[in-house]
Amino acid sequence: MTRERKDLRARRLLQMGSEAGTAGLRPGFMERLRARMAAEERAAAAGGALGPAGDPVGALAALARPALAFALGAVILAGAFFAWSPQPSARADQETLAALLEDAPALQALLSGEARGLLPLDNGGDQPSSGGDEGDNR
Amino acid sequence: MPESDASPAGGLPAQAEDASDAALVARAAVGDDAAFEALVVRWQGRVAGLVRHFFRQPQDVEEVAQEVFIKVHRALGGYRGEAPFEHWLLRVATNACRDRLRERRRRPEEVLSQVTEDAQRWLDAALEGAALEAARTESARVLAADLLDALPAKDRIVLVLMDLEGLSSAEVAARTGSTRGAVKVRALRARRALRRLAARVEGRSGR
Repeated sequence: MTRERKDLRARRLLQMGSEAGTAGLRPGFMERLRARMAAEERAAAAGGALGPAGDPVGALAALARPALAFALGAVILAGAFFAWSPQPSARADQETLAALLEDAPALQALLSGEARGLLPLDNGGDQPSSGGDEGDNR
Repeated sequence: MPESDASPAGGLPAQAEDASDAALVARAAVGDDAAFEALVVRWQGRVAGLVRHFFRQPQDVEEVAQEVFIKVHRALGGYRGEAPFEHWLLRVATNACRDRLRERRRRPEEVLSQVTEDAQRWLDAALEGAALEAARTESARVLAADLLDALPAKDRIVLVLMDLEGLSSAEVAARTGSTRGAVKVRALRARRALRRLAARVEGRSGR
């Protein structure tokens, strides 16, 4: 199918499907419009008078909106507080670790290669076994 | 709107008929129902003419036309008179048509699966320029209208306004609240989609 023929078919499809007839609106349009507007006004007034009970979805939305706004505000405040509060620096962490190494005898023993003094070793026989072993042998 | 006794059935007071749109809008905005009715009587034919491009069923046309005037009535206070009333009114009408079209959008497969092969054949013949008898033409028109429901609402609006109402891309942009460039792009895409729709009819009619 050539491009021209495709265009022609498309144009005809649009014309056929969108062809506005010659008939206008039925007589009495103004009266029907007036009646619909009056009905909508009455419905709006009734909805307003009923309050939330007349519109459960609206009532739910009215409850949810402030709650969501409060939650959003809390998140923003928490974020701002976190950003504002002083963060522990990496240098402080290093200093804490160094102090721990200096002060803990067990870690010092490990670093100096004297771990034998820390662990109960079977082969030396110089480590007293716990009383629990004797109890097990009984 | 409350009942008005200012407008006798079948006509309007002479002063309302003669008043300019701007004067009627100003009076209607402060609650003059006779002025609003004069606007409705003056413009209902134009609004219905636009709406009928998109909806074939008389009840659809009636409902959308009513929605247009209800929206206009509610928004009268916001009309500043910077553009002619007709432009403002038709913009409201175009938006109302777009909203209704969105609600009723269908897939082409769904449309084609629900119509007879005869109707497809007649539409195919009509698209080829063949003359059909009245009943077949009407059947083809119904199918064509249903098929156009498969287009995105904005595409169809642009096509109708440009190709059937004869508006320029700038005028369509003003009518739809878009930009001229966006309208041109939209029109290009819409024409491509329309060609595809027309081709589908040929593919299915068994010719």
